[in-house]
Amino acid sequence: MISRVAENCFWLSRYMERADTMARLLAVNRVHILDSQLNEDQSWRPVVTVAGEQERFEQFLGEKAYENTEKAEEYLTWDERNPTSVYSSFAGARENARTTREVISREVWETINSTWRWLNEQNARKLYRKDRQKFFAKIRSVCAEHQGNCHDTLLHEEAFDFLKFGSWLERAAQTARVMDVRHHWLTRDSVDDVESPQEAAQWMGLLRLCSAVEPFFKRHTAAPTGTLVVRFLLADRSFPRSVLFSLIQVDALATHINQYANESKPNETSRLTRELLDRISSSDFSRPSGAELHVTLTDVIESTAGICERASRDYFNRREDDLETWER
Amino acid sequence: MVRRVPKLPLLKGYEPMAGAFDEFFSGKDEPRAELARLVKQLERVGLREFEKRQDLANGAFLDAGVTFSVYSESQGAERAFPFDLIPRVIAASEWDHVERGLEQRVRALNAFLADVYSGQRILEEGVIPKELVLKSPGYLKQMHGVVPPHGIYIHIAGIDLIRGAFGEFIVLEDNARTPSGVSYVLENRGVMKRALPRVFSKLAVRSTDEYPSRLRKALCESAPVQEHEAKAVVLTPGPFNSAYFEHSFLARRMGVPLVHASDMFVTDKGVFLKTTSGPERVDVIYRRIDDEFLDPKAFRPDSLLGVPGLVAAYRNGKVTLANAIGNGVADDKAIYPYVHDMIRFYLSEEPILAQVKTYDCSRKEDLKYVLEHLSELVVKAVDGSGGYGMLMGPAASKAEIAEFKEKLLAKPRGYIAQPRVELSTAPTWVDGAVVPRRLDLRPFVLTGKSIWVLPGGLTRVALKEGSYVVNSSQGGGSKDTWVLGGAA
Repeated sequence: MISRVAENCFWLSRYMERADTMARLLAVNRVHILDSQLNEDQSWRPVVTVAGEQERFEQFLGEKAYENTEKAEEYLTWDERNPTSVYSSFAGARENARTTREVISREVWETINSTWRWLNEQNARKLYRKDRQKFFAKIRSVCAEHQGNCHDTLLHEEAFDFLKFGSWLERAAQTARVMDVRHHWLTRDSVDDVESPQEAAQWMGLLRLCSAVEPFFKRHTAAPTGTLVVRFLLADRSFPRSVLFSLIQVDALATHINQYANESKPNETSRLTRELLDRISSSDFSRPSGAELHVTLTDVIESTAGICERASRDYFNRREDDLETWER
Repeated sequence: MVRRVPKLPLLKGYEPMAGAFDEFFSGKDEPRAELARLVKQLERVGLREFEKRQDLANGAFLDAGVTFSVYSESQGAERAFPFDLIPRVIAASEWDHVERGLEQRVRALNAFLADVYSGQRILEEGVIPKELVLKSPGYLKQMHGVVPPHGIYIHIAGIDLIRGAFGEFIVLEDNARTPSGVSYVLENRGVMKRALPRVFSKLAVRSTDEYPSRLRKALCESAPVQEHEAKAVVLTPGPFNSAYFEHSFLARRMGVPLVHASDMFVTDKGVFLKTTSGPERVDVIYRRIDDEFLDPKAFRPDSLLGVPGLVAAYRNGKVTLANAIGNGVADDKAIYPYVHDMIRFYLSEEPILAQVKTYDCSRKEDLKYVLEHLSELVVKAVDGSGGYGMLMGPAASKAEIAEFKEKLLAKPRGYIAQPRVELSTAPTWVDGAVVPRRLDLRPFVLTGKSIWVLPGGLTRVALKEGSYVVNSSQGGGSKDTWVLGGAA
């Protein structure tokens, strides 16, 4: 498939995944702030940190805005100056969809395009003002619809694989980022089964941020402890937002797209993906410390960025001299 | 008890425009025989319900992203092409005549191009003035002697038609380069079926669905390799082009890649696509880029759109370009008056479709007449399109006429003039009421091993009251075009 189109597919899904993550963080954090008795995290700082937006946020809105739900939500949902806002993510997804329309299906396009139109109309604003939870729920259901559309209306071939490759890579990094803003909670050397109610509430909060509450309780009947939650989010083999689960998908897709590339041995993208997967799946998380966790999560975040760069070299911007060598 | 709200009439009381041929009504409340059935069906829908359906149709276009970009607004601004839900109808017998006329015309134009770029028999025999052709801005000297695969020049033609005072079809102009608008034909039909399914099903309307597969076949048939192994692509200037939607639409519906120039490169073996799996050979390029932007090595060195070396590959027969390079000479508006002569010269046939009387301003006597009658004539730039660069004499101010006088004197070869032909009208939904508006028609003609004409074509309608200009960039809209006669 045409390199440029493959790259657009890859980014299209990354943007959709990003919009989904942001909508979830926004919806959860809003509720979390309302009913928690925690002090240090009663703010929007963690969400802004996950988005990697501290610098711009403070520049445009000032540090005080971390405590101002209205301002923070506005910035994270609508602000075009924020490249990770829900609005910006949809703009990116829509632009990539527009230039890949002959590859994606009508359903994939129409879902993104009609949501984009809706976001630009008064109706979206009205819903946002009137019922914010419903607004974020709508964004999330559109992202789910997108996943369904991809799965059910596209040929499960190269374009599909690049779409999925993008979204799983994004997800692995996002879960790692969300966990990383909480890694310091583990420094108190918490013992598995002895957590204060306050600490338990913290871990519940983290599960919520990852849409992991119900899945977690299907796995564990005990109250959430730091070790259990970290293990679950990092290394559960069935939870579709865990870092490990996401990396297993990324690895499988890297192998697929490698096969399309007409090369007999694994390319760099495949190799980097496999190495990261091996590091995470062989790690021992029986009793991780906050510092260890931070190292692992940083590895995930940096390595996924590295894979993205390498994919660009291997698939999206193959140099012409490569092509000509290949031809001869 | 349910009280019935009386239906408001939709077409009843419609007043045809004085002096124009109305395609629906010969007089107030007197539908033409072929249209009676449709009028009855539309009346059944009623005004209130029709309004709802029209809104539904408008929404469907936006959802589907059937839009064009507007250059004059901020970059990338998109608009939907206004769609009028009242269809335009052409009877089976009328269409039969049009179809034969179009096929004949395209055959003649293709023969003309083949001749002009080789032996120039038609010029040697003095049928068309040599000067006129060789000095045409559309004539590309460097293409002389280049024969495209299978001798096909005009793979896709758009021949603009209007209906005269008696409803007869007249050719207004030919488009032999990159005629656009076919995506609207297909999208209009889809929306029409959704918005007025019952009305549609009551009339035997000929299908337009085949177009993409016919186009793909015509393209592959004209490849330098065997048809079954031909790899075709659509080449677009990119998403900011006003017709990008159409480029994408056609690629998608044909199931071929949509490519940018930067997705391709040329070696001495041919043209290749840059793919995730390495280079892939391309045999046919349906290019939606003008000649001069195709290849910076051959035409404009400053062009960023082109593929370096593409023209050389084309010359060497490695790749088919659809349409061929240099077709501009065939749709030059100053050549248009001679198309009937081409038909007689190459085909030994009498022309089937009439055309508009045209004054060639490069001829002294014609120029004199034009200058004296500017306020009655329509003056067009020979290489203009989209309704730009023209003078509508009867509607123009003194200053505009004076300005055109100077333009004509400065560059007579640059212009032609025609008497203003009254366009036919049809009932059109404007601001909550049905009123007569002027129409034209762009049918699409495909040439591969044989010629095929899409039933109907793009009907454009001048939505502004009193306007003759149907272009989308200047307040035009479109209608679905129904050719009656079932699956013939």
